[in-house]
Amino acid sequence: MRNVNVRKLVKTIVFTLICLIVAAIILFPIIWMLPAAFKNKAEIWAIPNEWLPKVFYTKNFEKIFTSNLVNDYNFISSIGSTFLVSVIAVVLSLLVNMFAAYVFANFEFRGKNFLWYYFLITMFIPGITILLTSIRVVSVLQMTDTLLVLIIPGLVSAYNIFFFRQFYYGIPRSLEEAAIIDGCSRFKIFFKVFLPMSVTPMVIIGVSVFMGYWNSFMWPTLTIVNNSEIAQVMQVIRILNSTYSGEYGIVIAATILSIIIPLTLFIIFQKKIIAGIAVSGLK
Amino acid sequence: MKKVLKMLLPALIAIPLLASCGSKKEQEEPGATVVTMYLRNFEEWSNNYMNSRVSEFNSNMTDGIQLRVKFFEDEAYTDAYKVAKEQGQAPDIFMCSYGNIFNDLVETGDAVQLEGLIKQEYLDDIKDNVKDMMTYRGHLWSYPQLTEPSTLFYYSKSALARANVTVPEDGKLTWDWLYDACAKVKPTLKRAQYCVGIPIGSAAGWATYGMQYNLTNGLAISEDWKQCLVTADSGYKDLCEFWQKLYINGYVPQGAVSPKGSYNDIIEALTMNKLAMTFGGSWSIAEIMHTYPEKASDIGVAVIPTKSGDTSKVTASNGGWTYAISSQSDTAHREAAAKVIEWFFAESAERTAGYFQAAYYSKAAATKSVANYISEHVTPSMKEWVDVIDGVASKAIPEAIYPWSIACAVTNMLETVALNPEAPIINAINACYSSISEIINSPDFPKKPE
Amino acid sequence: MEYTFDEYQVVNKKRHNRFKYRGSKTAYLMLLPAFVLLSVFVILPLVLAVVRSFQDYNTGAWVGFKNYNYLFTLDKLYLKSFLNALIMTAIISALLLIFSFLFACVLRAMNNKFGKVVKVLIYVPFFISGIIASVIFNLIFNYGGGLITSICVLLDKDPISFTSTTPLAYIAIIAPTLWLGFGYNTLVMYAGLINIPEDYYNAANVDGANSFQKMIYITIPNMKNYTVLLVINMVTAYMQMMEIPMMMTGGAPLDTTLTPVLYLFNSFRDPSRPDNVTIAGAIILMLLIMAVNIVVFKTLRTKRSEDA
Repeated sequence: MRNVNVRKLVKTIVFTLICLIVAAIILFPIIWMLPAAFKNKAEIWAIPNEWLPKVFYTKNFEKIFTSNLVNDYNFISSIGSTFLVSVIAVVLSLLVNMFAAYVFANFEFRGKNFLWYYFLITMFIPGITILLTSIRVVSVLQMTDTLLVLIIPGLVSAYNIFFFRQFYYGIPRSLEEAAIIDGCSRFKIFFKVFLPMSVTPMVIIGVSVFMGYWNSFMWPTLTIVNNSEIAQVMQVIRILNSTYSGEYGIVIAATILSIIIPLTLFIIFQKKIIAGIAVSGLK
Repeated sequence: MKKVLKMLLPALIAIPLLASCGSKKEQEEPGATVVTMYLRNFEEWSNNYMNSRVSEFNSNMTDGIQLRVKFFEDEAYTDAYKVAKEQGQAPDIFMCSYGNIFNDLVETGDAVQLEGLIKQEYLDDIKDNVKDMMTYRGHLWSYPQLTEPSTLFYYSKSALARANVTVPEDGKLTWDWLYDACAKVKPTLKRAQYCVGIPIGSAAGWATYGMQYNLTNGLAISEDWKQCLVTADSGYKDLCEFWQKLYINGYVPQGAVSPKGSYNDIIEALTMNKLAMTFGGSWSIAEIMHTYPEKASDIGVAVIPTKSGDTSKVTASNGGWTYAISSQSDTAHREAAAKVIEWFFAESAERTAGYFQAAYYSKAAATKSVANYISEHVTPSMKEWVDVIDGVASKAIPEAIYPWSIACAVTNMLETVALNPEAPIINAINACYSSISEIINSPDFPKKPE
Repeated sequence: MEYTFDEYQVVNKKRHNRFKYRGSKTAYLMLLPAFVLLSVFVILPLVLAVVRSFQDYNTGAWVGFKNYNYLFTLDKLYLKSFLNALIMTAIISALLLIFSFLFACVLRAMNNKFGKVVKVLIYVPFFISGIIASVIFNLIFNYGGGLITSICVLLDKDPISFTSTTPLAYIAIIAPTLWLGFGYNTLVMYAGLINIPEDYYNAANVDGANSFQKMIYITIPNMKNYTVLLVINMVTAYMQMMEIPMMMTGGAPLDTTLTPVLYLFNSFRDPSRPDNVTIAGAIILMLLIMAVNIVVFKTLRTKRSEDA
């Protein structure tokens, strides 16, 4: 019996150690990066490089907070506009995709099968394939260089519709039928019955939509070209990266600021997100 | 339901706001013709200079024209131009480098020919060798601002002195001198310091044109674009051996050591003491003078080391920038744009030369009048450098205009011999030959432009 | 009025159908926004792309497969980039599967508070984009003055360039990619592991199986579906890798880290390469990704029907 206990203890210790090591490896790049934001030009690429700066240099952040870092790009306003875009996109995207999922899960109508495959096929179209022609489309629609071009084209996602549909299948039919007998319209049922029940998938999908918009790089780079006021975070960081490669502390400072919002989001919703992986993993 | 509406309402209100937000129009002075111009983001001093000229132009409201300038960082420039063009709103004036005039301006129909728009006397003022570089189908498609040789040789005087290396008085540097210098310098260096920097990556494609021409009196394909010449004589083999020798002896760093990692700012690595010598474009001089003035006295400039050391031969290719007028602009805007170009680059030699002054004469003039002006006004302290640059620039060949994939094949050859020193050089050359032959024999290979 | 049983069935069915089809107007209405958006911003560009891939860029004339041909004859770089992506995808996917599976097993055994904290910690990189990851890893891999160069100098060794020599450049791409994907994959694996019914293990314990046998005969077979799904995800994502290669190596050295999407992105900016060739290349990429997905979905579906 004691033997078993000792073995268990050894096992726990070994596993704890493995966990510690893995967590350390994963967190190391971030931890290594943080002090670099306070290094000046001379220290950032010095050899040998030290973790903590010798001189605590705050000019990098000062520069980030002043306007016109490079060609009218202002990092703080890019954070603001990216946040605005992402939040609006999350709200609209959830609504549009949930509508569609609700219809596919609970309605019978002519052309349903065709429409379902019509939607589904878009899951397999890589962004790059339609990149050039999408730019053509949005420029015909006069959307280039406006916030609309950032928000609208990416709203619908077949994968998200699929995800919600699977979820709605799990909601008992009887609930809906009862509501119909009560005289609710199908539209109203969605808001009264389905919406309140789908908070968890809304959080899961909402966060992923938010991250998709927050981290998007290629699309804004090619569609927001003449309006630096609404440039997106990743776009600006990429430009900073090639402009301030010498004063890399500025890039690092921008990087740190850019991960604060997603990280906060993660901390707030971490329970739901982690629980959601179990579901979303099996698409 | 109410909750949802509350959530939705701001979004619904926001949409029309957003739509209007983007399409804001800049205020126009009544009656002014607004000319838009896209510029590339260069060094800080260069941008500042252009900006001050632009405000000077606008404050005078020359000919009732108002100039709107937008600067773009490297790749953002291409994106912005492409998207604007796609929308039919290409800028009235945009930039093009010499090597791309045919492909980007003529073939695409993006630019209008300058004859009739810009005064003939200004077109005649362009230096003959420059004119040759930019005349296609018998017309000029853009107006040149400057030329800059892509390869000069820079060295830290103190680093060489520490290793007892002397630079020949006549400035005729040979490969043997370079090997010898590297061998002497290497022991004096610490780890992560290197003897000499060379162009790597895509720069090895365009910054070696001068070296290729120096060795073979030609480039990778024949004048008529019909034949691959890398195996025609021993020139490319010599170049490969040179490259490989620098690598296997550890004279050159394995990768970029300047923060930006590109050949364009390789001089930074020299000023940071990570390199003792380096190949570099003529623009590096301006970078030294503006960003590291305290290092200027320590840095020497010379013609690049060549196999023969003969400085009367071609040692560099001329790159540089020209300004084109968009074919999407209407007649009024074309004429206004032509006036802007004249004002900036042609009308007054003094005004145009201002840029060269600000650049510490690190670039060569593209027009005769400006060249004269500069030679009269150059400060004696800069004379030494200006002479080197002018000497190289006057002999330099234009950058190749054949498809970039050919230059890439040469880059690959050089990279291969550097990365696989065990394999015989001839394999790399043969591989280069076969890939270039395949490219030029393809039915889709373009004809040489005239 | 009384119905016979058969009549009753018919009426009931009709009523049921009426119920089912009731509100199909609402259905169309609610589907409309998604349908319009999808049609305008996905399907229409796709159709345009297919059309343009068969046209000449400057004139708009029909040129058959000329644009596709360009990629196979004039510029073979694109084909090479597929090979590169394939190699990197294979390495990354294999490593991720192994690491995440093993670590998920550890996490399952660590069924305590600490384990929960670790789960959250390793998931952090999932919120970081490829651009940001590259900025962070540049501090480590930069040849001119990064962490590795510093370590080399401290050990009195010549610094190693991870971004411009083969095959080390793969590491500069693979390391950040693994870093970004490890947390997600581990947690999916973990979800799969805890879904395996405890009874299976209890039964095995009764039979006296050791941990290795339990792993081989219970854990691994039960993880098949999760593994297949992760593989699809990874293949689809990593064949389209772009940000990290662009920022870390730019495709160097000798174009060994050039990926198809990076090639296409670059060629969009390269005026000398006709756009329609770029589009043709992107369509090839799409067909490849669709093929991979369809094959895996098909096998998965037959697998499921067998299970059922």
